[in-house]
Amino acid sequence: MDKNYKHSDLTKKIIAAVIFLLFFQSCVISEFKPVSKTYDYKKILSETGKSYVYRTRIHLYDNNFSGLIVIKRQEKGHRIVFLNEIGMKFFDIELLPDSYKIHHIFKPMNKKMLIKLLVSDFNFILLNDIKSENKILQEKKSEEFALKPKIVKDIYYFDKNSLLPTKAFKYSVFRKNTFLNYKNYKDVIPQKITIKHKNIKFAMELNFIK
Amino acid sequence: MKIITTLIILVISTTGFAQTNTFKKIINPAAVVQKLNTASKNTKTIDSDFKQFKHLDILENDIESTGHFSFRATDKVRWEYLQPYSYLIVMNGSNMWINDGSKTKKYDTKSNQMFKEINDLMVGMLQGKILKSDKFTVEFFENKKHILAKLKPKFGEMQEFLSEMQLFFDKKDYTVAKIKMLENSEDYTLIEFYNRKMNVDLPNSKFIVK
Repeated sequence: MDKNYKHSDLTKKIIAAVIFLLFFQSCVISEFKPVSKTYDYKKILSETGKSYVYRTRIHLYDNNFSGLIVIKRQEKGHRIVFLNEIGMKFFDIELLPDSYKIHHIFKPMNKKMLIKLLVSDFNFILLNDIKSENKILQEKKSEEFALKPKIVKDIYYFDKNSLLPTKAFKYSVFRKNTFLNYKNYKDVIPQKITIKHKNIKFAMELNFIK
Repeated sequence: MKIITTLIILVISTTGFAQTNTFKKIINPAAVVQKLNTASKNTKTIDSDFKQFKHLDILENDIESTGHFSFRATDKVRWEYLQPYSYLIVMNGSNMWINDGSKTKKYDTKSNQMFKEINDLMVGMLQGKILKSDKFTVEFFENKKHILAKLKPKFGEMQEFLSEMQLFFDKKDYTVAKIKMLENSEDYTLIEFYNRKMNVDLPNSKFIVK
């Protein structure tokens, strides 16, 4: 009897969660309507062979790191190098289409969770998760259009004129959990990029140098 | 004929250049070490501009930064980056201040091993103490202009950042003219000092950050 009760209780909870999820998903999607035309949106920092240097501040729990982030688009993916101002290299990670390669990481930073976070955030910043088959949605009453990758729960917003990304969100089950902003474009390069997580104390601010 | 003459001149001048710049190992460095020790003992202050070149193998051009450097014997250092970013490190005894362009943080190098290492390294380099350090193996080389001390770290922590450190001493006054820090990869940091002034008055206020 007891066992059956527990079983039915669990089933109810699962059904409630599924209903909530469907409701949540439909709420997110209902903000948008399909685009009437194809927008040839642009990815950033993606000119093969070119490198971009950003002055960077990383806040991880109670630790602050400042330094330079070098982003270089290579044939297969991006190389991300973080060094401090006096030249000490903290990490050197290569983002590949479905994986990553660590060329160097400072021992205290060599934590699985942190590496996963960095890889995920830089893929997010560089729009690497958007594949051509992704569903395109348009934000209602907005100057921006939005693009939602099919599998991942991310939404990117693009400026309709420049077709460059302006902001993006990552969703967890219940709410937005990662906030990404691209600011002050000069040509096609955002002079400032910020990313902040809500569920963990992790944030990065990148200011373009060269 | 003209082409042959030009080629000959080019080869001769290139060989000549290479000869003056090629370093030869100093088999018995005692006399050189003596001169370096005397110079460091006589150096009470150093005030100099510097240029830093961060070489990353993935970059076509080095990341260049410039700043100002001050040292007062025995343990006061002010290391200030001015372009293209502002960053300040001040060391005074066991106190260390870092301003990353927005915030100043004070550290006690006694309780922070990494900062103690940086402090010891910088002060050690300037006072020549590093040449006697048991943390490095040292070899000496010379060419027409410079004495080159190649230091290889013996222990793990330092080896993570450095495979070799090269100190170039100017033969005119036996003071440090440039520092090259080589990493385990092909990457390195080169710092060149220029407008060097020795034994000028440097006030206490330069070595305190409020």
